Formats: sequence, C-alpha cells, structure tokens
Amino acid sequence: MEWYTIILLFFVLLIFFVLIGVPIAFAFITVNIILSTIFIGFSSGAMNLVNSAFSSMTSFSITPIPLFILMGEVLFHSGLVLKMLDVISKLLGKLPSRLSILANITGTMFAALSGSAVANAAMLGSALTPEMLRRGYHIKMIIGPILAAGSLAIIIPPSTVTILLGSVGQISVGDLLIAGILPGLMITVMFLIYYIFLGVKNPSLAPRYEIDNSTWKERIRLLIQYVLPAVLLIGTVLGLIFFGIATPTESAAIGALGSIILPMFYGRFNKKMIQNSVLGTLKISSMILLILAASAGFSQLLAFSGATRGLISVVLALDIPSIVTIIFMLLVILLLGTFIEPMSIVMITIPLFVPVVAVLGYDLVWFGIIALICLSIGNVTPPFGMLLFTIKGVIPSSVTLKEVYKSVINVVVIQMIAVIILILFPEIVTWLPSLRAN
Amino acid sequence: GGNEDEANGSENSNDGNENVAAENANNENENENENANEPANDGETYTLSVVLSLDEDNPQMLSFPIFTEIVEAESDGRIQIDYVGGPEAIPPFTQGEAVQNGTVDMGWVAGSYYADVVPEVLGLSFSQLEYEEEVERGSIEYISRFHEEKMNTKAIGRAGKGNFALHVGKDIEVNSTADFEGLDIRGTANYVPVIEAVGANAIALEAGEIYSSLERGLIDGYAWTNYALPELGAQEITGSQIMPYFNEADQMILANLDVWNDLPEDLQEIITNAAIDAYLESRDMVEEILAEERIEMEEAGVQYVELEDADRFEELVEENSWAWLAERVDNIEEMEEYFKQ
Amino acid sequence: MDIFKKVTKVVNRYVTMLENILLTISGVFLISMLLTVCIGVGSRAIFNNSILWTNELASYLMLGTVFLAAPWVLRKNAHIIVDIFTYKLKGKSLRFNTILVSIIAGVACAIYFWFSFNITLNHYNNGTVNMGSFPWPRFALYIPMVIGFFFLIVRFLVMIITNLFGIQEKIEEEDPLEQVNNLLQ
Ligand code: NA
Ligand code: NA
Repeated sequence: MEWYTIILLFFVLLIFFVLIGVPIAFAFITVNIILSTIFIGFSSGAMNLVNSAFSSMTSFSITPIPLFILMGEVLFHSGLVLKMLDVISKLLGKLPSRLSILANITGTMFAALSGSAVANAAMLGSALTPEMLRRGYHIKMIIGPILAAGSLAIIIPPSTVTILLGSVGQISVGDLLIAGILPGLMITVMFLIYYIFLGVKNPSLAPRYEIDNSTWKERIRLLIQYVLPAVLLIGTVLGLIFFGIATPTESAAIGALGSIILPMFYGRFNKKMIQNSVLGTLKISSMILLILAASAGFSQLLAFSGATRGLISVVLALDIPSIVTIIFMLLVILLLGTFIEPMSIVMITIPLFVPVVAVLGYDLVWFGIIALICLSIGNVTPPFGMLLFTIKGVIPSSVTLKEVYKSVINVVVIQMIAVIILILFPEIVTWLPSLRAN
Repeated sequence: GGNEDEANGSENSNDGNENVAAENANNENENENENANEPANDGETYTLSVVLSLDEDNPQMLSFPIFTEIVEAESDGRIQIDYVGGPEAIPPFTQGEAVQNGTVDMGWVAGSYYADVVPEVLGLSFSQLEYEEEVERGSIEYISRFHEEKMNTKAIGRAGKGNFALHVGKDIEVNSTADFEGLDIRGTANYVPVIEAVGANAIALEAGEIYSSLERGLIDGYAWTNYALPELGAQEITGSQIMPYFNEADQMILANLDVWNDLPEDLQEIITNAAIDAYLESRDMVEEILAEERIEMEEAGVQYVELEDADRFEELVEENSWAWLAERVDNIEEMEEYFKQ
Repeated sequence: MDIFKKVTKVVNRYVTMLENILLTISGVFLISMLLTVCIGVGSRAIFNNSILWTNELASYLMLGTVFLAAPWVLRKNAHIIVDIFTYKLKGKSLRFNTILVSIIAGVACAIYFWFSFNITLNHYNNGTVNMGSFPWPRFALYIPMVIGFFFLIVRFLVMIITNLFGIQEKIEEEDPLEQVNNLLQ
C-alpha cells in the first residue's frame, strides 16, 4: 500500500466512526483494532495495542493532568473564583466597556488557575452574562470576551491540552507550559485593546453605569484577602517549573494541595466541596486520558505502517518554502477544528506533524504554541465548538445564531492576527523557555 | 568449571537445533530437514519486519544496516528485512513483548527494557568477556534459552558494542567515588547496581527525558553508553564524562521464536553469522565514533575525568553488579561461568 | 415482558452500584496520587533523598483512576461525541443509532478486555516483577484496565438491551458516595 492510501484509510475509518456517533475514545480503539489487524495481525496487534495503552497511561509526562484539573475544580467548587471575580469588579472602577474588560482580565486569571476552556467560559458566562444584559451591553461585548477567556485557558498554563500536546509530540512539557505565558498575555492585551476601542467608539455597545465606590483602603484589603493568595498560588506553580525546582507533575501536586488548603482559611472547606471537586476531576480526567490511551496505538500504527515516514519524505522532497508546509499544517488543524474538539485533533495530527516540523528545523515549542492557538480557534468555530455550546447554554434564547456567529468572528480574527505575529516574531514564544535553559 | 559448562552450552544448543528440526518436520515439508546440512533452498522468500529501540541514525544502531546488507546478500534475497520504525512505532519498553507476540519478527532491543521478564539478559551487561569469547563459550546460546522459555523469543546476538559511563551536569565536580554520594543519577535496571554502589540514587527515566531533567537540575547526572551522546543533546548540558567506563551495552538482536523456527536452517545460520559479523564490523566503527565524539564534546566544554580511585570503582562495579543480579536470578553460578573471566 | 423489564431494572441497579464502588476507589486513587507526589517532593526537599517509587506509584494510581472511573463516565454520557450528524435523531432512529454505536464500541472494548485479561494472566503466571527502583508486580498494574474494560462492556450491553426493548430506564441519580456508604453500613 502506498503511504497516502494508508493515511487515507486511517482517517476515513476514524472519521466514519466519529461521525456516526461513536465516542472519540471508542472510535480510536475500534479503528486501532481494524488497522492493527491489517498491518500486524489480529491477536499480536491487539496485544500490542493493550501494551501501548498501558505504556502511554504510565508515562510520567501526563501525570500533571489530573492534578491540574483537581486544582481548578477545587478553586471553582469552593466558590473562591466567584469571590475573586467580585473583588476584581470592585477594583476596576469606571472604565469604558467595564464588564467586558472584567470578563477579560478575570478570564486571564482563571486561565492561569484552570486547564479547561469549557469550565472557564461556563463559569464566567454564567456569572457575568445576567449583569451584562441588565446593563444593556451589546451581545458582541458579552460573547466575545467570554469566548476569549475560554480560549486563553488552553494557551495560558496550566493547560491540559498543552500537556497532551507535549506528551504526544514528545516536546518538553515544562517548556511548552512556560512558553504559553507571553503569547497568552499578548492575546489578552489584544482583546482588551479591541473591546476598549469598541466601547469608546460606540458607547451604546457598553453603556456606562454608576458603581458603588468603595474606598481604596477597602479595595486593597479585598485585593490582599482574596486575589493575592490565588496569584501567589499561580506564581508558585509556574515558578517551580520555571526555575527547575520541580517537575510539572510535582508543581501540579503542590498547586492542587495549595488549592485544597486555601479554602480552609476562608471557611469554605467542606466534604461536599471536596466530593464535587473529586467527581468533576474524575469525569474530565477519565474522559481525556481514555482518549490518550486509545489514541497512542493510533499514532504508533501510523508510524508502523510507514505512513509517517512516507509523508515526511514527500514533504521534504516538495519544492516549496518550508513555512508554507507549516502554514498548511496549521490550516489542517483549523479545518479539523470546525468539527472536532481540540484534544482529539492533537491526538490525530501531532504524531504526524511534529516529525515533519523537526525535520524542517523549526522550534517544536514554537510550533506547539501556534498549534494550540489554532486549536483554541477551532473551539469557537461553527458548527462544532465546545465553547459555542457552552455560550449557547448561558445566553438567553432570544439571541439569534447569527448574532453569536458575528461575535465569534471577532475572536477568530484577533487570534489569527496573534498567530501571524507569532510566526513573524517567534521570539515571543521562545524567549521565556530560553531563559529557563540558562 | 569453564570447560564443563562450555560442553553443556554446546549440548544444549544442539538440543535446540534438534527441536527446530523436529518442529519443522511436523509443520512443513520434510525434504528440507532430511538435508539439513545442505543449503535447503525451498525457494521461499522470507520478509522479516524489524523494530529498533533507538532512532535509525543513532550510532548504537550501527549494526542494523550492516546486518541487513549481509543478510540480504548472503541469502540471495531470500530474506528481506523490512524496517518498520523506532521508538515512535512501538514504545521502547514494550518492544520485547512486541517481538514476543509477533507484532514484529525481529528487534534491536535493549535487554534492560525487558529484564523484568528475562533478568538473565543482564548477564550480558555485566559480562567481562569479549564477544568472540562469548560466542566460543556459547554464552549467547545459553542466554537465548531463557528468552525462549520465558518470552518466546530467540536471542540471536549482541546488537552493538559499547561500554557505559556515568555523566554529571555542568555545576558538579566528581573526582573520586565518594563524590557521587547522594547525587541523583538517571539509570534503568542495568545501571542500578553501579549507581547504588557509589552511593548515588538511581532514577529511571526514558532516554528522551534525560536532557530536560538535567537541564532543570532534577537530576545531577545520568548513566548512558560512553558514546551516542550528541543524540541526547548532551554536549549542551554535560559537565563531565566520568571514567573508567564499565559493563557492556545491552542492545540485543531478538527474533520471535515461531518466526525463527519457521526459517530453514541455512537461513538461520546466515542470520546468526550476519549478527556476529555486523557486531564485529560496527565494533571497530564505535572506537572511531568514540574518538571523534570526544573531540566534539571537549570543544563544547565537556571534560573527561578519570576517577582518582579508579581501582576501587572497578571493584565496586564488579562486586555489586553480580551481587545485584544474584538476587534476581536462580542460576548465578552458571551465569558467572558464561560471562566472567 | 413485564418480568423482563423488571430483571433489566434489577441488573441495571446492581451494575450501577458496582460502577459507583469503582468510582469511589478511583477517587481514593486520585487523592492517593496527589499525596504520593507530595510525599516525593517533601522527601526530596527536606531529607534530600529521592523516593524513587513515588513517581512510579503516582503514574500507576493515575492509570487506576482513569480506568475505574471510565464506566461511570460512560453512564453519565460524558465521553466526547461529535454529534454534528446525530444530534437531530429522535425516537426509533435515535434508539437504532445508540444500539449500533454500543455494539461497535462494546465489541472494541471486549477485544481490549480479552487481551488485557490475557496479558495480566501471563504476567501473573510468570510472576513478572518490574526491575526498576521498586519491584512492582506487573499483573497488578494491569488489573484496573481489565476491570475498566469489563464494566464498559457491561454498560454497553445494558444500553443495547434497554434501547432494543424500549425500556425507559431512569436510574435515580443517587449520590455515588452515599450509595457506597449505605452499602457498607
Ligand atoms: Na490554563
Ligand atoms: Na469548531
């Protein structure tokens, strides 16, 4: 079989099972069994698949995932995150597009506390949308910042998708996490500028309103009481990774432990909170890591069948600038992103793309971060976008689909601009990890 | 004792061959086995799929292309070698099982990766003999028995020459055995007895994790072969390679036992001899690579440090390696006769 | 038919209960994993000695966490599905789709179950023990996978039967921890 026939076979089968509604994890194992029967033989192939699943699940690079998820879940379920939202709202004072900016800034903060785009968007959406609507905000000013906040959760560490990408592509997970900080902040600033600009240009989009003016003394007390501890927690987790004091797994464990201890000081620690956090963690981790276990066999079969090497040799023989190849890969990610969620795209494309990127001589961390932004774009593009579904759940049904799509366009465009900036100035990605090395 | 066991070894290998013959007689046409000593050309072509435990261009895999060339030439094309991939195709730690269950027909696999199934394979790591001597004594045949019994594979031969060395990071100075005390050193099963003997802690990490772990100061050093360092990116992060070198590389050439038994005897012989020839040819190249690499590494600032108490280090290595193995195999005296001087 | 429905209902209840027990163990594994890594960090920071087994134990606990929670996640319908073609299905065609998907996924799980069971059995019979820093018995590490795939098959079977015979089976969503507590008392 030619390599392109093999690749076609892999993806046609996978997409068929996915589209008839087989859950992604089980679609992977179904396709694995079919393909390993073809390329290896039924029983030895199946034994190999079981060993692959075991081997991928006991890899130390993915052990941070459940721990980071637990950290986010505890902070959400203890109500500390909502309290922080409240405090930051008081701190902001009078600003154009005040609530949009609030969503943006807190979204960025929560992105640094949580690895889950959906949790981030859902939390902000349900907390802020009623207030925004009551204040007469235009739907564009509501949906955009909340989608943006969700997207940032993937890029700003900690991020489950980042860890998966590092583990599947064999890129340093620590470097990837650290490399996400600057691009994440850059995108936050781009969103901030955009929404302030909209609010100034057309105040009717975000009508100003009177706010209770608390004293500066009160604001600082609230800041120290509710925001500072969380900022310290984030700083500790990232600092441990950055300075090489602890592995990502150890940092995640320290972060999770910190997030469990923190609510004790606010009297928010109880059995129900822990139970809900653990159940939430189990649900998300099991769902994500089962896909990882199942897809490990898939990417190894791609290599085993000769498809990966075939693709690489052809790409290398192509007479096109290598950046065109990179852009082509990003377009594939964007295209898949219209109907598949980010994690599965990582599992499908990264094993095929990363060897090519490495052979072309590009920085893998740089490619990883740009791929992550493209993945987070896919999260908001119709028809299938986890964040779109989340948004639909929190906005009133009177809002038309057309209005939603219009707001999505802004988010997509701004992130596309970010991708172009990072392609032109790769140092924005590679600078922090390079500091780490010295 | 050595002579007696040599005799045992060859006896056993004869047994092995008889079994092969018997099985072939049952399974396939009998003509082939009646003339077992003549090249029994059944006209059939055998394609053998191969997985490697390291990337194809890693110098530790040097013997593979040589082996392929010899086998395909000597067999007049009756054996075709089909390279299916490296660690990306089958996870390194499951490659032993992949050969066992027939996912691939052959593998260039590090013994320590499957030593939990066949701990005897570590004898090859702790061996004090040159390969020629091992071949003469039948040491590989002896070790193969355990592979056949416990994991349905034939151990055909060593895959490559190499000694091990301990390496430490840039900010760490080691001049004597005592300086290792308390250091965290990366090392899989075959290194553990030595790392523990010098008072350091052994941490099992995959080869791919060595660079980032040392860079972050999570480990103070790592055990690896004394060459193939640039493949780890080691010149950027290594302070010094510590000598003397110790023990032997544990890369093995394995074949699935059923596949092996299905091969006509003349082809088995071609493969066995090709494995030996490929080893010997690559062994000379390893010396060159080592010398060239040393120049490259020294230019990058890596030091080559000889321990002040080198004798003591070598003593510790010998004692601890075999004592450690003795706790994990049932037949340590027999093993020592095959691998000790 | 009435008896059949009753039997299905009872079976479903017991399967659900077992899933909840597995879920509870999975939760214990998660917390143990957190503590294990923390103990590793602490011993490295305070006593400057590496506890080698903590890294490995953490990853084995994670494996257990994932596979023991998987059947519950399936019952909760929380595995990721791309439903751009199937979200409109209703009534009979929805039931047909559910049965089809459950058969495909159930067979795939059965194959993974069978081979992981065999590998576990082999490791048990051979007494395979890890060679690294701690002698983990290999068969024990595979057990959560075997159990996980087994209960995934069972859950898919329940889904096939209830959809095939149109049994509207609403399981009262009891708090899983409460249920286990009640069971223990
Ligand atoms: Na995040
Ligand atoms: Na999408």
